[in-house]
Amino acid sequence: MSKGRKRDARINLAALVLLLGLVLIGYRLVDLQVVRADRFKQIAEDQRYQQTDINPLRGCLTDREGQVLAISKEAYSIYATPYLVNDKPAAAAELSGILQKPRQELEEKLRTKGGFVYIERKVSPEVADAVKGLGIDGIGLQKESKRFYPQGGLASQILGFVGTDNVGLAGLELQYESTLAGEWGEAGMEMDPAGEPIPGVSKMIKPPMDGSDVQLTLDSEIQFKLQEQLAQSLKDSGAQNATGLVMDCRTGEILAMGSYPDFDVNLYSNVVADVTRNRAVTDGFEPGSVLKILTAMAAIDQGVVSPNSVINVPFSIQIGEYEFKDDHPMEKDDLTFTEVIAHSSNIGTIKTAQATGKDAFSKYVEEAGLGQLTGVDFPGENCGVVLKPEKWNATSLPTMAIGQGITVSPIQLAVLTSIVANGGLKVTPHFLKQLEHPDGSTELYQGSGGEPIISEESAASLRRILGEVVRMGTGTRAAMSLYNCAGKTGTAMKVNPEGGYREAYIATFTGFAPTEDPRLVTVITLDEPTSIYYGGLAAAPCFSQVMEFALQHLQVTPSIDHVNTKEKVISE
Amino acid sequence: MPERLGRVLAPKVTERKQTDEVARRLSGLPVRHIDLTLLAITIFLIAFGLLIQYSATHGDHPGNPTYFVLRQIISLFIGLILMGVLLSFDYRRLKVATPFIYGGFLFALLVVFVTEAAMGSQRWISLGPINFQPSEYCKLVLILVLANFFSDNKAEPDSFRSFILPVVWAGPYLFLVFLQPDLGTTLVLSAILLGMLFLVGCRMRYWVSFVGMGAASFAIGFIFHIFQPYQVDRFTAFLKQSSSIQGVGYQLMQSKIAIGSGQFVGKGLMHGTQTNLNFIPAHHTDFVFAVLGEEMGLLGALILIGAFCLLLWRGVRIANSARDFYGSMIAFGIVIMFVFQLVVNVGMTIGIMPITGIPLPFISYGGSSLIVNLAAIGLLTNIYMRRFSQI
Repeated sequence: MSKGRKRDARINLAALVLLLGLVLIGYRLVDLQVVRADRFKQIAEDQRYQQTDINPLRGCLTDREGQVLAISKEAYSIYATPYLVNDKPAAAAELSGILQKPRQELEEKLRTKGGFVYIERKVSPEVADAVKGLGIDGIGLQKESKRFYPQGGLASQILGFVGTDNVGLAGLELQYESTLAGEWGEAGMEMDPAGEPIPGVSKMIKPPMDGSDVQLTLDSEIQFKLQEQLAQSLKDSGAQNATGLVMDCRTGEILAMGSYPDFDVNLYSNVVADVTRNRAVTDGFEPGSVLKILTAMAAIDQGVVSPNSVINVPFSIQIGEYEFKDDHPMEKDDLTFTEVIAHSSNIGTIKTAQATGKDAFSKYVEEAGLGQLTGVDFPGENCGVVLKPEKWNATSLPTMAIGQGITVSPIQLAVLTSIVANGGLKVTPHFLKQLEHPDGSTELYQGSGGEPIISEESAASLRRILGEVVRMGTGTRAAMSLYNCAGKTGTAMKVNPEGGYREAYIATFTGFAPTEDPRLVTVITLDEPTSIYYGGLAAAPCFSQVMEFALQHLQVTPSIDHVNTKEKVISE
Repeated sequence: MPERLGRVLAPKVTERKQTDEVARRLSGLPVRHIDLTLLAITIFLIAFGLLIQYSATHGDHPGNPTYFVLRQIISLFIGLILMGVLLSFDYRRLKVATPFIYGGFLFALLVVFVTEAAMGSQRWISLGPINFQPSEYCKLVLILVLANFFSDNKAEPDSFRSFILPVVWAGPYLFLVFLQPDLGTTLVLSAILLGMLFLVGCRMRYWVSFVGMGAASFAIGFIFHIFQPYQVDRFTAFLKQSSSIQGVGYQLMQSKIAIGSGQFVGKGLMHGTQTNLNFIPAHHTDFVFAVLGEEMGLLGALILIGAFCLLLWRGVRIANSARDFYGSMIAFGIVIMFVFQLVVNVGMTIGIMPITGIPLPFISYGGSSLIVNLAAIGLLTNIYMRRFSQI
């Protein structure tokens, strides 16, 4: 029986081995399905289920007539899951044909470690179709939207631009980012083992909320005219930069604004940052004689002078250690205040300012908003540099009275000019006309209505004085054919970075029209004109062209009594 | 310890008491002595298998969720017919036919090599709508051949002759199946040979040297690249246990993710996300256990393993209660075949065994496998119900 017992032992041993195998499996199963189960569950979720953000459609930017200035178009991004691309050199070669990119660069991208790499962002649907047609494993398409500016270079510095992720980086795209962007939605997607979303099973968790359309106060026609004329005056004057703006003096609505050289927003990556700046808002400069508007405003409103007050104007006066001179000798020694401004006499203006006094003058500087933000809805506004009255020395008042030693931006000049034009109110310049929400509701711009700075009578006097600038003063080139206008010229010396001033100028003209019932304010500044540099010669013609076009475009009734139209002006 | 366990598992044939009850059993038709437990386990496993296969494959042919299940049911009927045939006569009559069956399948294994390769190996002979996979049948044929040899063997069980002749019988099968290449079935055949040699009382020195030689040739195969690269990768994947999402590690990782994420009660039939989204490779064949683990959780897995434990218990019991040594050896061989396949298949899906193409008995999709398993159950039943029969 020993053989039988031996066999029994072996049977038992064999059964035991098999049983051990089963126990081992049971143990391992408990380990996988109980002990480490949560981890595996997580991995399973992660590789199968992906939450994707769905981008909302970014709102449009339109002009005041509803013409589209910026819109989001359907675009596709091509991405790769590198480890799923088997034949990388071949795939790179095929892609390079369609995408017009070097094969080498694409192959490098395909060799990236990790599960995701962008091959190319935001290609057109046609290119996307072509890539899809290749049917390369591991290459996928992602629907996105691409910002497009149908008007090309129109208002490009104002509109700004967006980054690849559709977030506004500059200009109004940045200013109204939260409004335009909308809210991202979320969708859950089941992925197949290749990491591709499985069609038909994605589940919307939160639908995206499209952005609101932003309607601007800009007028495309006037904008186009302004840009065209800025380019022309740059050419005529040899300036490095020409900046201008057109604003409704009653409401602060900005109808046009721009600088030349400009750029096409659609190609923004190819231009230097310099030309993308909206200088009318972001750049301050010493304005020169145009700031005599402020000096006159203070003096008239304070009753220090009247338009017909006679002021003795010697060629030069000594204040402290400095001698102030006029740019050109006046025809006579005694000038009315109107003539002082019309001919832009520095001496006459300084004497008026001194009569007004530091306290009253500085009050108007502040009330007119110099050294402060105008509140325009544009990012990066420059508030200018204005010395605090307590830090003024003996020459501060006379210097500032003629627009040196103080910096302002063109938009501040426009606000200052508006105070005169609209009867004494300081308006808030703005680009926003109304918001159009995706649900169809609209939200109009809520303005403050303007803050009174000077009396209506003072404003009327100032309008007459500034009208004389165009009729017989330094601004005769600003005259138009159909409308009376008023304004002030400026030819400021530029500050030398090493101290003092240098032989470089900023030529400016700021004015409004029609004088009898002002509608628009236009500011033109030319930076470092070379061939002609007087504000009255370099900037005023541009003002005239833009203003007349704008008024006609807005169907403003032409002036009945021609006071300082082209045929009435008295050339110097 | 083995002794005690042995008593529980295998009440000795020799100790059975010749009672009146036994005498009563000696009369009447053999079918009266059928093993109802084994029958119940078999029905359960078949149903369980079809259920899992439906769940695993219902999305594989869009619009035709029963594509695989219907094919499997056809095989089921063929298997049931074969099972019926095998029950209809006394299993000892097989002894005469065994050499012919052996020769027939040897021929089939050779024929396989003139067929077209599928998925890198030549395993199937196409017979119209169904594919016939001789290597599956060879498992059972080898059991019959070895049982036949051992029961007729007059030499001492621990003699060299008693060791080498079974090896010679098994050799051609092992060699040809290995050449297909079908590493999994080669391993199952080896397990059957080694298991039966061990049980019959082979001298341990021979046995150990044989296992050692097998392992050594395996190692040489690795070193000299005799194996296909994918076989090496698959075989060694479980040793690395990397979480790499690529290559073979991917297959194993996905299987583990599926099973692990099933947790205790599973995600529910048809609701296995890894299964339905095709993350699990070969989800209706070699990796079907991953589907089960994902959709029915630990509970389902333990039910399956429990069913196989019952099968093991009934198999050993049948082996011990067999009327003769021949029947006993067949029963042992079948038990080894089932449990070895279960352990290796489940083991590979959970990363404790090398990945080899071994089906999970009754659960994996595959006609030949199911037919052979049913034939094996038929043989076990035959042996058990004729335990009292006279010649």
